[in-house]
Amino acid sequence: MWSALPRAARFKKQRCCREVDQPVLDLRGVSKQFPGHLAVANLSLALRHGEFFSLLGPSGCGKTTTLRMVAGFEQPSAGEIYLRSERIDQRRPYQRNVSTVFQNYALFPHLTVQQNVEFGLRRQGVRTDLQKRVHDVLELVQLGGKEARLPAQISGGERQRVALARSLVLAPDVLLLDEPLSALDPNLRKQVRAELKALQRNVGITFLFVTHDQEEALSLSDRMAVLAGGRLEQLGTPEEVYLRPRTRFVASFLGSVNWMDGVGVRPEAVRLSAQHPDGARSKPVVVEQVRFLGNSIHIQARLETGEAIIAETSRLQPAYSPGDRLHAWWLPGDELRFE
Amino acid sequence: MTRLRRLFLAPSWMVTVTLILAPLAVVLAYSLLTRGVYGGVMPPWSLENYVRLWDPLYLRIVGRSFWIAGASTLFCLLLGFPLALFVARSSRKNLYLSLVMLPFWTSFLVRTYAWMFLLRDTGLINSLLQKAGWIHDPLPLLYNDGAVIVGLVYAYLPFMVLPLYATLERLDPNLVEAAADLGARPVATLARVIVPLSAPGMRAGIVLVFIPCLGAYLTPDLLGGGKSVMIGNLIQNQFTTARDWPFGSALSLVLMAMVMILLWLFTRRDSEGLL
Repeated sequence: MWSALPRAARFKKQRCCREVDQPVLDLRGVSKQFPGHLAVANLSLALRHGEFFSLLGPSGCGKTTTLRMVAGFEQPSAGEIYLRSERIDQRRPYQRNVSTVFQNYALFPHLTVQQNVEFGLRRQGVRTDLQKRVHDVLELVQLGGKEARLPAQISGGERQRVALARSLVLAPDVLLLDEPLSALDPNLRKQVRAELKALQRNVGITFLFVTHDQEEALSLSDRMAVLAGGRLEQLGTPEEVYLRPRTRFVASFLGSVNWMDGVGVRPEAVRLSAQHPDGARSKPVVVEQVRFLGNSIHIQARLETGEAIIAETSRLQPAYSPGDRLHAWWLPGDELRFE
Repeated sequence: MTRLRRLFLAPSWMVTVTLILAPLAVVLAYSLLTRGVYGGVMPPWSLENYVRLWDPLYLRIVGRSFWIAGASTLFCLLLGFPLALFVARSSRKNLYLSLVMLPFWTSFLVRTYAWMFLLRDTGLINSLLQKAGWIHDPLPLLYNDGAVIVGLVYAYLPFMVLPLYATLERLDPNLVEAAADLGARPVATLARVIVPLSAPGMRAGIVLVFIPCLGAYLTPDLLGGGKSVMIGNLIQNQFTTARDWPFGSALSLVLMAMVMILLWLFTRRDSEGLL
């Protein structure tokens, strides 16, 4: 819904033709050693102009530490960080043209919505068009009319948009988002997710988005990096990472996997039939349980080897009941293989 | 249910009535009577004691009390804020907090005498400065307003530090990071975020320091040496040397009234502000 607003054009970064090829944010061999544990290990990432880039991983994988090093709240123990080809890892947070949307939004509770959004512009000494810029960004995130409210007087979703507006008004080179949807209730989260993506397209600012929610990362990202134990497991588009995971960890973190003879097949790729299928790979199974999930049906079946697998079907496909002897089959292209 | 509640509240009611309200009523009655020949009180009833307060001699003492208490509170705030901020951000909070409270382990009287030994003409500070050759005659460090303020700041600094520490310790560190993230240098972060958000602690600290300072008696008595007299000394004087109990009672009630008005003015803005 935000994409319909014409004013968004003024938040777009003016890019020079030469810079488009250069990464806007470049992490080269960045490590962070905390007392007793290595949070980030030799991480290299390069973000392109205007892309929505996600860092995905379980808690403790180093994604938030990485974000904090880009923001300047943590100093890397090794490696270099470049923003628009300038080295920034030794600079203070207020000397970097990046801006953070915190998980708890970190709105100043004693300042109104208007004053929160003005805060960064006033620190930059902006005077002349300050009112207009604040007004425009509040319109962009649909908070017009709430200027005089305090953060305690608005809803959680509105607070999140104030946090976004407060950062966007500064037109940062990269906007850093630390699990910004996790504080919202689940119904609101999906709606805000769609709005966030539209907003990012609209303003054209590079987003570095940290999340532990694989659905969020898959649906929002242009590219994503999966981290585990401070190391980069895989980097690619959501399709590449989901359909061609490089490691078993990535495969299981991004969705369910049935493991059969060392080969992984996702539940939606497993099909069931009473007859022996020709040409496809198949295994005889016995249906154990049928779980109706509304938009899909999960059929749990057991192989002759004793392992349980899940096949995701729908109510438009033939129905089976526990005890049915069937063949589970899949296409070779749907197999997940690892070195 | 209400009977049980009344039963549990009875002890505190008894304490309040017998040890606080009843003596206050006696003080109020005394303040409206006439002084006895050898101390004590006698009829007739009169408002004379309250009228006498307007004597410029007494008004000057009230004025000095406010100036000394105000200056002491200001210095406590200026010294206490950085200290509280340091303790709140330290990884050894408990150690520093116990150091802040360490003076309470010794008698207040002894500590005030220690200041006399430091500040007097032949005291540590003057003799060191003389030995260093920086001064010839000893500096007049004792028996003036300055000495009283030093003593009061020393005595009441913990009462400023503790409530400030409590608010600063609860301050979301993300807010400080957010300020820096939005381009605020450390001074701007302090002025625009940390100080405004510690206002409740400041208010509590100011109340906890200013009120006892206003009624201070021991510190001005010992460090002011009769030259720097405050309301507390005036009241004490009425009950001892001057033997004017009614006037002493009137002074006590006026001091109480002033404190209550100040407290009301200071805390009416936010009900939950005081600690």
